[in-house]
Amino acid sequence: MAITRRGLLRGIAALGATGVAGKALGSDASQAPATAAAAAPPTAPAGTEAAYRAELAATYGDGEAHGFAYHCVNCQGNCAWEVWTDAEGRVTRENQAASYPPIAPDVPDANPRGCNKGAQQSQLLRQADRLLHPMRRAGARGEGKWKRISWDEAITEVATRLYETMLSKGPAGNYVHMGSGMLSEARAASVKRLGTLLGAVRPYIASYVGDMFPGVGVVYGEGNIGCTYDFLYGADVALFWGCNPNTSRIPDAHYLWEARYRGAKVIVVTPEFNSSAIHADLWVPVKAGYDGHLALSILHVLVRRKLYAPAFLAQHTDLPLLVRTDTKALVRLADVDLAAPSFDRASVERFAADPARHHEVFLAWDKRLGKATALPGCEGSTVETLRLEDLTWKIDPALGGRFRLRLRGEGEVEVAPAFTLLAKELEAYAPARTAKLTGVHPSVVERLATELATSKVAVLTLGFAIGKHFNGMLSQRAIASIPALLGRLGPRGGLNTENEWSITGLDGLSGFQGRFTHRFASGFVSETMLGGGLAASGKGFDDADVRRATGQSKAEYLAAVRGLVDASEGDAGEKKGKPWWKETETFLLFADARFRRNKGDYRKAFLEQARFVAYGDYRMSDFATFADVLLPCTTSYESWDLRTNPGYHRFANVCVPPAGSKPAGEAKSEWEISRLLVEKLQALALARYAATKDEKVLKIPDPTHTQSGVHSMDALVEEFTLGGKLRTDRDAVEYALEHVDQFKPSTLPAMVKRGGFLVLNEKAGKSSPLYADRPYSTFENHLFLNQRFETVSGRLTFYVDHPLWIAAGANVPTAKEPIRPKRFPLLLMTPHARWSIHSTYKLSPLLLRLQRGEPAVMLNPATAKRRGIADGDRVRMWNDLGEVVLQAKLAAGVPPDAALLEHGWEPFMYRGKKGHNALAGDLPNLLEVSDGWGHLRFGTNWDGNQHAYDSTVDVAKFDAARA
Amino acid sequence: MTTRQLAMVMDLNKCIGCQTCTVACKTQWTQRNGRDYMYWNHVETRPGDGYPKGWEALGGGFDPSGALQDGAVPARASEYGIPWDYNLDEAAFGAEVRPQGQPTHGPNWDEDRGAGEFPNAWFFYLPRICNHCASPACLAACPRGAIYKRAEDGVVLVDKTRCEGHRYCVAACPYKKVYANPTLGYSEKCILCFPRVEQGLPPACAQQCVGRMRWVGYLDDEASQVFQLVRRFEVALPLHPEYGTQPNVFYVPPLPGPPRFDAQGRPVAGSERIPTKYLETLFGPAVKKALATLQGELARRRKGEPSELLDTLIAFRQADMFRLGTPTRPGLVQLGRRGAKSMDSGEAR
Repeated sequence: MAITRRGLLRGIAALGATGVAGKALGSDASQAPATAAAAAPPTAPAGTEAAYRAELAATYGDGEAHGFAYHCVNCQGNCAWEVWTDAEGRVTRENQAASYPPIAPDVPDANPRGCNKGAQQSQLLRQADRLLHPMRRAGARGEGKWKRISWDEAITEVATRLYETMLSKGPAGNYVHMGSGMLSEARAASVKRLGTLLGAVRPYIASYVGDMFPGVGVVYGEGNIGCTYDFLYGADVALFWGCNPNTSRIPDAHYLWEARYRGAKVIVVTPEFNSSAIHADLWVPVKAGYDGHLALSILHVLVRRKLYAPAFLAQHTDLPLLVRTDTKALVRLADVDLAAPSFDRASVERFAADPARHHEVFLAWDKRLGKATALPGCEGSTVETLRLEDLTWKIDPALGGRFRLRLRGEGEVEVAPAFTLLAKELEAYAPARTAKLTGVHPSVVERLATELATSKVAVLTLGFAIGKHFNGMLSQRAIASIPALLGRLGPRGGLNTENEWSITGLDGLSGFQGRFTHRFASGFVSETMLGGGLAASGKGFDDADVRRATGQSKAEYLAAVRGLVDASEGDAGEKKGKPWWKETETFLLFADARFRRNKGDYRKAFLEQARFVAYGDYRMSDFATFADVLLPCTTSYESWDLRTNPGYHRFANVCVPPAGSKPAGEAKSEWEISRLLVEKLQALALARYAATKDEKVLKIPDPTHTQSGVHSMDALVEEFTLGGKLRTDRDAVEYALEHVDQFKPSTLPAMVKRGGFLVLNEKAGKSSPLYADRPYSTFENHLFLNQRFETVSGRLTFYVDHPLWIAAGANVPTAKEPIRPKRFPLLLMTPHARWSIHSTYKLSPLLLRLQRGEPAVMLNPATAKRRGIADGDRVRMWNDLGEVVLQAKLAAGVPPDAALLEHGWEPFMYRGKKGHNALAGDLPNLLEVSDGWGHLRFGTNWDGNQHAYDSTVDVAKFDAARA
Repeated sequence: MTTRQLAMVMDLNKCIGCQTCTVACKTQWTQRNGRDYMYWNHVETRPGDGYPKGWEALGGGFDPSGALQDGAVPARASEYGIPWDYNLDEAAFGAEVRPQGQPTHGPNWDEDRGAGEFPNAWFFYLPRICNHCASPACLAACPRGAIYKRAEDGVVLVDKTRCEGHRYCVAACPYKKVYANPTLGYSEKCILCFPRVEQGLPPACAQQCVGRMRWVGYLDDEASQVFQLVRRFEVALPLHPEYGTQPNVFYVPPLPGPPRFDAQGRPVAGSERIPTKYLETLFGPAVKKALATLQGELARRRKGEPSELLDTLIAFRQADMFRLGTPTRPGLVQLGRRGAKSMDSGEAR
């Protein structure tokens, strides 16, 4: 029976936790705790004060039965909350636990971490868009006709589709993914574990949402670096570039303004005058997309004024590495005629005893010997240190000059330290020359350079907005190069993206120690290909746009990208670049409201490729409306979970549901859902085998992603549950506490007693010690102990001699024009929101009432006036790709050439259910697609972003009559 | 007679406009019992119309002679804004999810709008609760004598057993922080979370403030930050002192902001992005001295000198920001007994 709206809601009312039905489901009144309402009737006899006291008491139940939680969404904030229930065990409200211990008397404590969104999570538990029961689509996709089904029916259907796909398409036919709406260590491991066991495809989560720092990985070998936010308290200069911490790092922002009172200068570099800029000591209104040009101008000043330490560059960076001046290629030891008179042959035996690795050993010109010398510390070196002086060696690398060196089979060539090529490139970026593009006065560039160079501790925090431009990877790299040039590591501050703790021992939770591996897909390439491929992604840009941004014609550029993407497809291409699998057709997704994110016609193309979509979430997102089967999931207050990373602070938080509380409706945790699926898959396979006696239905071949060569379907349950030990979300938390070294000696009862968290021990520091009494900042081990970086040269990397990079002029840090079409006057900027974490929380009426209630595009008053638009007017916003209708909000801080719209709005919140991303074009950047060079090999430190800031629009008053 | 006065100081240089306070207050008190449209706490972006819209032009308070001035009751739709709902129950069924009823105004309508010409835009955040005035205009205006100040903490309360819903208090409050409850038929307002304070818990807006910009304490407690900031350093000022009600909520005014730019894009040293003249309209002439004190201390601090004032504003320990005295009614809610039962839950899962 296809269910009607009325019928379904009646079902919800009968079985759900809310006990209310109909239109009232969406009203605030329905969210009132029944007991609280009862506590303060109009005629309460006990008087005013007693009534308020009773009301307070009702929100806290008996004050004992409460739980702990953080909100495991993609804000990465990770804050400990206490969750309160009323006498019936219904969650009434939450407050921050606020019991993090201080680390030192002179460092502000971390309390009370949290934000506006976490403070109302309790209201979502019974909100009318809560998914309460498994459902099957009963009409066309997205039409909104559903049939309520049992969990057994749902599990059977999903398991059957997964199994049939494995048999017909192989493991790569399945795509199993816990999306960015659920980032945690214990809970998210469930779906990763399931996907890995089945050999399914899973995209890299940071790049598939477009929040990756690939340009940082180029320089440092890893993208997630930086400090805990309490470190900022001790900074003398705290510069925020391309981010707005008062809006998007709410729990941590207090450290900035406390730092200012300590004496720090806070600098904000953003195109718009935003909520962080208002408190800054200096705001720098850079033109959007020209951040790279500004960064190179700062580098220009640093080099011109010699505001760097040559000894640091010689030891810790690749700037002394010798480069051929003719081909711009780095000289590798494998290229060198070892008998050349200008080569120090002894260095080979000393540092590079393994000839097989000579292609990853680099050279410098030793001023002492007057010869080129192989260096220790490179990827191919047999001595791992960056020390330039030890008992048996002393090297004094040159940063300037031109030298002759004989290469194997090529004769003598001219070589020069990479620094000379960098300095040459920087000549073009004199502040007076870039000012026209960046809009930043040269005196400001000089001041930024001075502040960053001469302060004792300077932290440069890089936001996600930079990577959202087509050439944003190059901008990230240029910005990241500034602290690298200045030797700002460890206690001196440096680049801050997102610090990541070293948490070991969890591999066994999400994976199988290599016995099975998932098919790890490039986030941006696999999403691009799922969304209709390169032809679709080029829409919106004409030849001139592409030429301006890349120097190549659109046809040439697309062909170059296509060549790389084609080569990296499927199992055969997995090691050849950015992996993606075109046979994927069955999707099991959780917490992944992807249609709010993806651009252009992604939805149409995705639905064409996806023969089956099962979707698990706690809420009815826009994406959920297009699913074939819906699986209702628990929220943070209804599950056990544990989370550490990223390392904005040194605490791991735990989720412990309040005593006596039950999940709403039939919601289940992802651990339980995954286990049920595994049990069903095994039963299905065994039944098929019993019927067919065909081994192939039980042992599904997978030579590339299993150690044994097959997925043994008769052993799935044993494997998934670790012999019965891993069955529930609580099991996962206990597993993590048992296996993670950095959590020792904490236990679950100790965490609860403390207030829902543990303090990481000293082992959590990845590249610096995590001192008990000092804020954390990365790379102390590199600075003081001369450990090598995870780069091909072992050094901070300015020079990349990948042929595509040389061809693009990107062998040294450089900047390129934005790709955005000039045909429309306003750049569409969609920064991270104050009121939602991406799309999570976007549908909270409580929060929407603290906004304009609907998507509202912020325009500069002058921009609006020219178009006859007043604040609050309905406007249409359009470009070649489409049109959306939304409210106009006039704001003085928006640049006159921009339309600024907080991101995350669900498409179904717009007219015609077409979201603003329908106006967004994007093209994969060839340099981000490029791969196979040194440390630029696909993985968590080298992938590419989908770009969201590449589109221009115009706006006009919306004429309802005309529409 | 009021013997002690509980007061709050808010540092606008630490306010990040996140409205966690607003949400904390809402879930604690105002999303039920006819209070949906009320915001006992809200944060408005200044300059702007504020909430309720244009409240500063709606009159109330006392004139210099001490006489009550006329005031108006804000209009529900155009000045408060009627809280709109959503057809979330239709989300699953193919509908566009839209506000039900056209939003006309709300507590944060002016969010981040500001004034000035780009790039010299300016704005700041101003959180507002009931000022629990020493001379409450609402109290003076009530024909029923239903409004009183509690002796033990100076909290201003509407006695619902006496209030008959005439709304003179709503009109008389120059801050427009008294609300008529259309469901219950009497007026209500911020109660400074007195039931929490009685148990040793700070008001929800202050305890949950992630910007750590609210201090709560008794004005006669010389060790309290409110005393220090208001009386000793004189950097915390009442909003619109000219209204004559003697507020007990005080604000550390915003510093001038990052330098303005000249026509060539050069920062202008010493420029006031936030005009002091504007701040004088909010905080009176004393704002000049308060700003000078703050700037002087900042300059000293940048030279490496100590500053007791800035250390106070930093607030090293959040728990120390609240000096509430000994709880007078402890134990009504068993807070702080962490995890007594929570470990037993979830066994079935």
